Order: sequence, then C-alpha cells, then structure tokens
Amino acid sequence: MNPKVRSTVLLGSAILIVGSLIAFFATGMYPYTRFRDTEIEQANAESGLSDLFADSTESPAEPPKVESVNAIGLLPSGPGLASVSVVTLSGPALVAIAGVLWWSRRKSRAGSGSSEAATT
Amino acid sequence: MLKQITMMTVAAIAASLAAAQPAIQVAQATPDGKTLIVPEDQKSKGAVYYAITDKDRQIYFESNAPLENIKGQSNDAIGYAVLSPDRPGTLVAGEWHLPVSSMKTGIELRDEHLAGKDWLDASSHPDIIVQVRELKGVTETKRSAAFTAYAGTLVVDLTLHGVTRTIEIPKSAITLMPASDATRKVAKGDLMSLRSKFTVTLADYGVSHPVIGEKVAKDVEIDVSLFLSTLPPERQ
Repeated sequence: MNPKVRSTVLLGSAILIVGSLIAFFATGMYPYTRFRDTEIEQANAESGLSDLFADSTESPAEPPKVESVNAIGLLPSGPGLASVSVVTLSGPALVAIAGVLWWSRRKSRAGSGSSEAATT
Repeated sequence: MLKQITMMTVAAIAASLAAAQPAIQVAQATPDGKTLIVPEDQKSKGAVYYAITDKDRQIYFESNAPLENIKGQSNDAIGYAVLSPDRPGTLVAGEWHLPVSSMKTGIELRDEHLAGKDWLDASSHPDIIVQVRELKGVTETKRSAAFTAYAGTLVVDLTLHGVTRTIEIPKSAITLMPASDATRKVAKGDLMSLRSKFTVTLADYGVSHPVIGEKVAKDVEIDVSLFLSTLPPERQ
C-alpha cells in the first residue's frame, strides 16, 4: 500500500473516531442519537398556565420536561441521519485502521522474509 | 364429537371473556377534534371544564429499566371534567382521550415502536381513554384570593391497549381559579388545574414484550397535568 494512502486512511479514521467522541461528549452523552422535536418544544415553551397555578400545590404545577436536543449518541436511533452515532462512525474507522495495520505488518513480514531469503 | 365439544368449550370461554370486559361507552370527538362532545346526562351534573390542549405538557411518562431510561410526553389530550355544583372541588364526571401517536420520547423510531403493534398498537387502539368515576375524600388544601386548591382520591377507568381497569389515584390535586385579569392574559374562562401521579403496570393492560424488565420497565410512571377552562377550545 502506498505510504501516502496509508497515512491518509489512518489520519482520516483517527479524526472520525476522535470527532465522533468529541461530538458525543459535547452534545450531552446520550445513549442514542436524537433530534429536536417540534411538539416537545411546543410543550416546553412557557404558556403561562403553569405559572398561574405555581403556588397552588406543593408539587410543581407541571411535570418534568422531556429534552428536545440534537445529539450524537453512542448508538444509532434509526435510519438516515439518525444512523449517525459514535458506534457507526468509529466502527468502520477502527476496521480501516486495523486493516491498514494488518496490511502493513503483512507487507513488512513479507519484505523481511524475502530479504532473508536473498541473503541466504 | 370430541372436536365439537372442544370447539363449544373454546366458544364458551371466549364469550365469558368478552362478557367480563364489556365495550366501554366513550364520548365522541368534536368535528375539529379539539375536544369531546359532553354527553347531556353528564353536562347536567355541574360545570363543564374543557381541557386546554396543544399548549403545556399534559402527560409525562417515565420508564426506568435497568438498561434504559425513557422519558416521554404528550400535550394532545382532549376532553372535559364536570365539577359538582354543591360539593366543592369534587369531580362528578369527566373523560379524556390521549392519542397514542402523540406520545413523544425525543427519538422518532422509538415513538414509532411505541405506537406499533408490539406495544400500544395505535392502529387498533388509537386512544388512551380516561373516564372519571369519582373524586372521593376531597379536602381543601390551600386557599388564596386567586384560587382554591383541593386534594382527593381520583377514581378512574383507564383504557389502555384496549383493556379497561379501574384505578384509584390518591393525592390527586384540583385547583379552581375563577376568571380574572391575570387569568385572561393566559386563557379565557374559569380555570382548573388537575394534577395526578400514578403507575401503570404494562402486563395489566395486555402489553407484553421480551424487553420488558430490561429496556422497558414493567411499571411506567405517569404524571398528569391538565389545565381546563369553562370555555371550550373553539372559544379560546
């Protein structure tokens, strides 16, 4: 394998792995990839009703919020864009790195084997 | 002969099962789908409050399973509650319909699975239906110039996945807030807030799946927060 191609594959794969991990940590470390949901956002917006009743009970006037965020998760959550995740990005990148390393090792062994044969 | 006896036995069992769970009478939705048509016999029982839909979160549910924590919500519940004219803070009737397809967890594919045949089966049972039987043991818990709050045990028939069961929800809170300048800025009419928390055991409603107990909890926590108004949605 051309050393330039090998370097490109290794560098590209490393960038993909590191990039997906950075995105995973930066977007909240969700187990699954998720996207904003307009209906959840509508419910999360303040209508003023819960504020009106805020003092009436000991428990909060409204239930907890459901998060509506764009996040790269550890695992994919469906087809299309939802398939982007740490596992789906890093998996092929790791396979590519392993493939290049295996190829290089095999080539160097074959090279050293042929040079040994030449000296004997 | 044996085959005939077997068939008759199966038919008898099926008939007895059907008799044990009669089809429930449900209120029909208005043509615009924004509320339910209140039956006349219930309308005459007291003041009708209509659920204010498409605004705040009305239903929050949470499944805490060993492998996954799922939180979801809906703000598409429609329906009404009827308040007793002579027993303060007491509901005498009411019904709400929650479309299964409106339940959102933040992950689209999971929402599709939730409404699918293996779970809540929205194609056969499109709505989760709550019908009020009574609110018992009502006590006044708080009063101010703007509102009066009550608490009691709400007794309802919950129909989920086509199975109806009567459940009692203690510590249900009802707050009544007559119309004022402050309320008119937010919603028209006299207002009511209804808060209830309860747990639904999926197996009780015929929902079974191999991942229940691992990725989905056997018992799902439900948190209800309904805001209602004496004015129906079309007059809001």
